Amino acid sequence: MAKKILIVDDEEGIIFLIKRRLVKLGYEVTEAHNGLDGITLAKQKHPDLILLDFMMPELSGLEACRMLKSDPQYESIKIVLLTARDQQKDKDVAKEVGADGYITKPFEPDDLIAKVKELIGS
Amino acid sequence: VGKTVETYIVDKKKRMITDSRFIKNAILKIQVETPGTDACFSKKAAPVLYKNYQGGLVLGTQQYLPDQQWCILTEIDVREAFQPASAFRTQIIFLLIILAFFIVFFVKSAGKKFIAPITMLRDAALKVARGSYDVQVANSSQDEIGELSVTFNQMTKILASTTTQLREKNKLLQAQKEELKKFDQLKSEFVSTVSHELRTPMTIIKESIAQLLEEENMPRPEKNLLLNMAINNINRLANLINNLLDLSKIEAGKVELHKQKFNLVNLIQEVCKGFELPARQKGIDIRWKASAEAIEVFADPDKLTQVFLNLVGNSMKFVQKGYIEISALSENNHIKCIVADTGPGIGKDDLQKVFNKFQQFGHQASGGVKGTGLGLSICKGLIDLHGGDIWVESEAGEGTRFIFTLPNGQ
Repeated sequence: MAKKILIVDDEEGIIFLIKRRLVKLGYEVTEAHNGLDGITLAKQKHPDLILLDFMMPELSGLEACRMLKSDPQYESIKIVLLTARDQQKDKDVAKEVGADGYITKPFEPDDLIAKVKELIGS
Repeated sequence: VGKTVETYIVDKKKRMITDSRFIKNAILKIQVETPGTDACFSKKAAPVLYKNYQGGLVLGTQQYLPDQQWCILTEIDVREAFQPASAFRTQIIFLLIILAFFIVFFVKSAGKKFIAPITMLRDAALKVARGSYDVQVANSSQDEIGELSVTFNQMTKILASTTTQLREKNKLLQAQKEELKKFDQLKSEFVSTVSHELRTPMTIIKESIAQLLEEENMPRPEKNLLLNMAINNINRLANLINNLLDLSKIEAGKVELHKQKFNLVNLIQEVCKGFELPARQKGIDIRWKASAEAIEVFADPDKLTQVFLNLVGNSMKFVQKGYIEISALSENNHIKCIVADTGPGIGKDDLQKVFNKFQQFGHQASGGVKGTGLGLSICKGLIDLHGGDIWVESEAGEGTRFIFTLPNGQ
């Protein structure tokens, strides 16, 4: 069965491009455009991995990550935070809230795919 | 002569040959063997005090009469002789007691007079040491302690005012420090946000081109989609950079206005024309109205166009149905322009933040179209430069009205 990935980002273009790449690799991809919808979808679909944007309206990726990782029902979902800020402080906070990975935009496609495969396999 | 004074004569056999004042028929009957007679006959110095022939202690003087070989003695009872001295002693003792009373009283009252102010000064000094500088000691005397009190009061006054000044300076410094800290925080937030805003379109450009390169046999429509995405985001990046440069120029005071007299109504018509096509495509109405056929303003037309483009462009993003209306009114001493729309409006909490840099609201409602978050900051900067005011009136669900004024005349 295909592994499920949820992409949460407020940038349509980024969702479109990442989704296109992951679908071609055989993943089942769903999308959300803000942190709140992301949480709802994560609870509904229980994906294997979430690609979560750091800065979003409604609920930031950081908060969404903290909420999911502190809930025993969903803590097993792997979370990779995507950020366009690239600050050591943000990396530290990402670790603190229990993120399994951290990727800085603009990312190397190979790095993103390698991280996904490392966490949930092909 | 005193009561006990007696002068008598004794012959060489020391028999009294005169009458005694105290013993009757004493002539030749009383043998006077006293240190007085002994000394008189032996011609030696007699003691001043000795016991007389009656055994009483007397004060006496003797004179030897060599022709008769008699001795004449005058004696007085020592108590009578010293009676004035003793009375004097009693008086002295009495005086001493009174003096002692006076001394005790004086010391007590002097204590009150000298020690009380010193105690007050000590208490006041302790209060000052504990930090209350509004202490003043009562000045009751003209002496050194009084002077000390005056000096002390002057010192506390100076201390109080110096401390107040220091505290105020400290407060000011603290506030400046907080301000700097806030500024520093804002600066680092700004850098972080600019980084985010630049990296996001860069990510889309990079990823779309990467995918185009990876897939040689990509169908034409998909290719076009990715290329358009890349171009749109290159434009977005260019736009962002232009806006950032504009804003930094405005903030650094490096924007020069090229003011001239022109008809504002013409400018508004031009702006509307520019938006007609995208408005028609979106199915919304774009219209204008003015209080007169010609409203003359003295302003920089390019900068004013930029303000209208930003405001109307903003509305275009959010209005889904309805209209965008630009109006211009000539009022008493200024010209008022309004850009009103039937968009989703802005919530109360966000209303104050709309002119802040990188504040973007409700781009969900705008269909995911993201601006740079700098357009309104630039509008505010440009209107400020013209000496006008800009503000926003809105309520969630009730549309938005951006209003700005320009001063009349030159």
